[in-house]
Amino acid sequence: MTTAVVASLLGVAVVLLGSAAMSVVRPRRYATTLDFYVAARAVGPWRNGAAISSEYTSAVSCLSLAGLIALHGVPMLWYSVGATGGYVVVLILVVAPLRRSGTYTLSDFAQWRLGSPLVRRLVTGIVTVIGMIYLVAQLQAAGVVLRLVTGLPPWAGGVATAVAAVAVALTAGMGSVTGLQALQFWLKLLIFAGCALVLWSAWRWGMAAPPAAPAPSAGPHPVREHVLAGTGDPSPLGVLSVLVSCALGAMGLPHVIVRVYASPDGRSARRSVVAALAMLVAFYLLPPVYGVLGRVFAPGVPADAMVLVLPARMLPGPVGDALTGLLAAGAFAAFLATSCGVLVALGATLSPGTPRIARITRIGRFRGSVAGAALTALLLSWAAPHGSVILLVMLGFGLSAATLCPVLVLGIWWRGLSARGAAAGLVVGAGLIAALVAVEGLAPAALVARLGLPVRYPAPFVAPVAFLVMVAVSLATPGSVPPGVSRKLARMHIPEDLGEAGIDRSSHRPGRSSR
Amino acid sequence: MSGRRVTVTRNPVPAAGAGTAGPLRPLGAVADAEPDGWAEPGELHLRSIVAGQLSLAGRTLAAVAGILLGVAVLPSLGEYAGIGAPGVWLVLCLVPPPLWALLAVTHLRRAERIERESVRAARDGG
Repeated sequence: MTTAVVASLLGVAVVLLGSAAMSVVRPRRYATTLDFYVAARAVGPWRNGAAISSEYTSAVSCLSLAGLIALHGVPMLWYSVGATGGYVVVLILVVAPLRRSGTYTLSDFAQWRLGSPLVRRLVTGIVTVIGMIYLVAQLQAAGVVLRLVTGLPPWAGGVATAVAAVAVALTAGMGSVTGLQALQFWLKLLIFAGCALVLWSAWRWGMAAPPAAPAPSAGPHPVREHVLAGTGDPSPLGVLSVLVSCALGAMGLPHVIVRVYASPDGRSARRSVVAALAMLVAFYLLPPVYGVLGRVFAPGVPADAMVLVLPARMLPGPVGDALTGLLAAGAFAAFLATSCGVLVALGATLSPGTPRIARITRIGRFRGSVAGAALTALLLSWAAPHGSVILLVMLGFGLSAATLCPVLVLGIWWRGLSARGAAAGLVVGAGLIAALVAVEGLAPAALVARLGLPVRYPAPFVAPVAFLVMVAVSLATPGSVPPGVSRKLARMHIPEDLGEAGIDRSSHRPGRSSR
Repeated sequence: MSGRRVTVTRNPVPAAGAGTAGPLRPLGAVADAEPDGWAEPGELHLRSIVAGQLSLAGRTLAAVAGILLGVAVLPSLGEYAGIGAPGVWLVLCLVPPPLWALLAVTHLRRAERIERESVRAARDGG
């Protein structure tokens, strides 16, 4: 066994076992089910912000993005700009009202706002698909990374990540998960920034020599990466597709939305998103650094593997091995943080729909859903074809932008949204995205080219269509606008302080924790 | 749940935490009087705060779109201006992040100000 393998195994084991141990050994005591879910709402903006950033900076941000920048150059720099920009949109349109609505998952929000079980089921289905896409991406990336650094079979990384994530999600409530994820964010930032600094200095001071035939410094690299729904396509429309997906899709990511609920009130939720944004801004400075290094030292390496190949290529020997181990540990911290967050969100989304068997508590159903989701994701990650994981995740963003984004934005800001309108928009948005992706993937290339732009770049075309359908059908069916819209809007938009000045929120705080 | 009666418009949300929270209503409004049983000042107050937040959101969204668009045309601008590839890389990596942070903080402060003013107005009015 080489030192690189030992260092990597050690790093990965420390992260996985340490995280699982932290949550098993020190589970917080929760008085009620709700405390379990929401950390008793004691999470301050900075800690919650770090947890949000931790879930957001998944395998994609840590590995694939740098790999794509190395492969395609400038057009991929937009991805990190867009990924952060999506968060500004979340801050502007969604956070505070969603927190004040008092709903926990997106399905809860849809049911509360529109009072329609059908819309709830549609949203639950879409959230499940997005969550699964995210989980499969993390587990596949874990397999790729572990095989790359240790030579273990690809299923090993996925299983290790899934087991650790389930252990954390099952034993810890949101409180412990929040603490753990905040810690993992700082760990990731420290590792990736530190390694970037060392590698960059090695390059600058001439300790690492580029390979004999360096890649051309401009223009797309000859290696062709697979393209999915516009992602990985360096043309302007491909970039636009990713920017729209990022800007509108971030608000629909189930794990991010659940996080908002851990803040005590709307104002604190807004502040935690600003804190998260500050941290993301710092984190997203790193992929371009690795991208530049990768362009020079590891041209042509597949996107997901590039970052981990870099230290051995630049500094062969013990230093490179140690850096590889550190980066592997940082990557697994990313897989684990995101998988955990998605599992908790999926568990909360799916558990109300599970069969009610006598003597199984709500937490029991939650745990069952978490375990079921993890197992399904694991099986899917083996069955699904392996591409670069950024393609999968961006597909999730695109789906979210075309379905959950219109429901959230119109639901929060427009009192005319009707249940039928929302259902129609969701069906059209999800259906169009699914159909276009299927056509792009299955139809012959010549046919795709003849069908034109929307097939290859679905998000920028489908998202506006979904908005339009929702508005048009809502206007046509005013009868299915749910009753009490003004009260719901007031609850979302009027600040909590007004509890003292004439608005009754008596059921707002004691009511929710008394169960 | 507290002893107070609350209006449940449809089935309560069965998932965690959601169903337990009663809808908001102004003091003095009869819960079951009518679906939108808001007293007039409450409705006016709501409309003004939503309008304020929406116009702020519109402005910040325009800035977001502007930054994304600006970033998208930058490389071709860079070619004209003769910055060269390394310059474009540097600008793309270093300029948008502080802009996002600035935009977020500005939006946060303005949104909170709108809320503070609405609270003050409601207290004065009530």
